Amino acid sequence: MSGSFNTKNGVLYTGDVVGEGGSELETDPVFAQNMFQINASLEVTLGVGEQLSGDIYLQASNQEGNETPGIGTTSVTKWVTVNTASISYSTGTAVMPTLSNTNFAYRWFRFKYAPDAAATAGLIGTVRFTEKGW
Amino acid sequence: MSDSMNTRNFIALDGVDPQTTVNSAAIYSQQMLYASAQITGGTSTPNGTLKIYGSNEHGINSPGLGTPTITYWAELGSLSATAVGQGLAITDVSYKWLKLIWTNSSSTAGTMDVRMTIKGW
Repeated sequence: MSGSFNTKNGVLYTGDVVGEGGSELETDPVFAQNMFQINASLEVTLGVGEQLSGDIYLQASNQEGNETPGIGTTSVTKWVTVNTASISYSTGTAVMPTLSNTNFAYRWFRFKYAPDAAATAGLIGTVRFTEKGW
Repeated sequence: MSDSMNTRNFIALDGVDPQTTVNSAAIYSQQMLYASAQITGGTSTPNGTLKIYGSNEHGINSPGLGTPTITYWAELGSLSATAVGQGLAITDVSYKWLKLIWTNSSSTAGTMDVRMTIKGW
């Protein structure tokens, strides 16, 4: 592995992805000021008759948040969408809708999933990300 | 954080009146490739156009020391903004200087903050 290329891969969320009443899933902010390629995936294994559908978003922010990212939590409230897609999966299989941004120019990003009315309540999933820079 | 990637995050327009036309200071960006600007706060509901401009003028011998005088600017990106939180990004920045210009359309009275991130090596 390169000693200079700076990459991170991790889990942003694991749990119920279609909350009560179809509420939205928004991950914690990820510090990406020194990154220029980012992606995030929503991993869900669908059972027979289950559906994962709605809209997914990759969002960015320039708010300062935590002055020392990685130490303590951060509060970022203003987000701009840099990539989005409508998704609809209804097969009994493993699915992984993913969004990327290859010229990321902001300080923070997060992943958001807004289920539609047809999404199956109680689906369990994981949001995983990779970011790359120097 | 990486030791080699060169990044800055800063307030480019700080508490400005969005009912006027506002220019940011010139931002030295000769070693930068990515830039973004986002309306991150303020008491106004902004409604107008936020643009990023670039220039290759010499400006000043020692950027950071003194204020450069730059006359000629090229438009690199534009956002029609109607709310706090909106932003725009540009890539492959190939100019020496950047600046922001906010032009009002129908903002409410109050203030507006715009924060930028620039990235390079």
